[in-house]
Amino acid sequence: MASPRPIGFWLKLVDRMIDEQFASTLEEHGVTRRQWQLLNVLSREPATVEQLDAAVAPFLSGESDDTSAEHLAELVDSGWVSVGAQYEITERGRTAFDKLEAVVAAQRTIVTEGVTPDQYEQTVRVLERMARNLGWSD
Amino acid sequence: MTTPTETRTNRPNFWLRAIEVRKHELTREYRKSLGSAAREGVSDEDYATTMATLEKMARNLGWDESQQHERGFGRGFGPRGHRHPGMLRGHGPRHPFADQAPTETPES
Repeated sequence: MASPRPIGFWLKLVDRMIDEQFASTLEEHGVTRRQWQLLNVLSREPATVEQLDAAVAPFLSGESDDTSAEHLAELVDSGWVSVGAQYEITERGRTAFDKLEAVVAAQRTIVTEGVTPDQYEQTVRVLERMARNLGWSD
Repeated sequence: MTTPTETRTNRPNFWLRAIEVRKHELTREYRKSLGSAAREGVSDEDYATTMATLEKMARNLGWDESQQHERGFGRGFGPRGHRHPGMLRGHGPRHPFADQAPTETPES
């Protein structure tokens, strides 16, 4: 029997696989990651480009220095977002966003298939504890 | 160039290798200590559950032992094999929704 793998192996593996799955889902639906984030923000309330830039900033990797404008232009062209004094999600955009969100949610369910709610909660608690032990704070 | 007094320990390559070896050892030790620090306050049972859950999630995402050996850790075994057939392919702003899109279902 193979020796058990260290937890770091599973952490990296699951993290990477979830990330890959999410990226390919978005790609498959013709939405960039930034557009998904923008739609997420706009699904809650209208916003200016500056507010949107600020809202998505924590999710951007260091090398990305483009603004949201280009990604928004595509959403506007597609009729998913309207632009006036602020950017606002349209009904069409909301329909698309809701559908995509449902797909993402369904995938999350598949990922945890066979894991009981207790096991899942326990795992999240342990991971949080480990992150905090390593110095992470809110 | 060598001189009669030169020994193994004054050759740069020896020390470069020694540095590399120690770098690897220290990295290993550091990672080990991080692992112990991370586990502080986590019971063996909770730790085992976490490992099992993560493994289950990886397998649900399509990972198995053979893929690891064939393709190397973490590469090339993404979720492609787990896509739902007939998902809402290409309805994004790059492939705008058709007008009938609101009635489309993931299975359609």
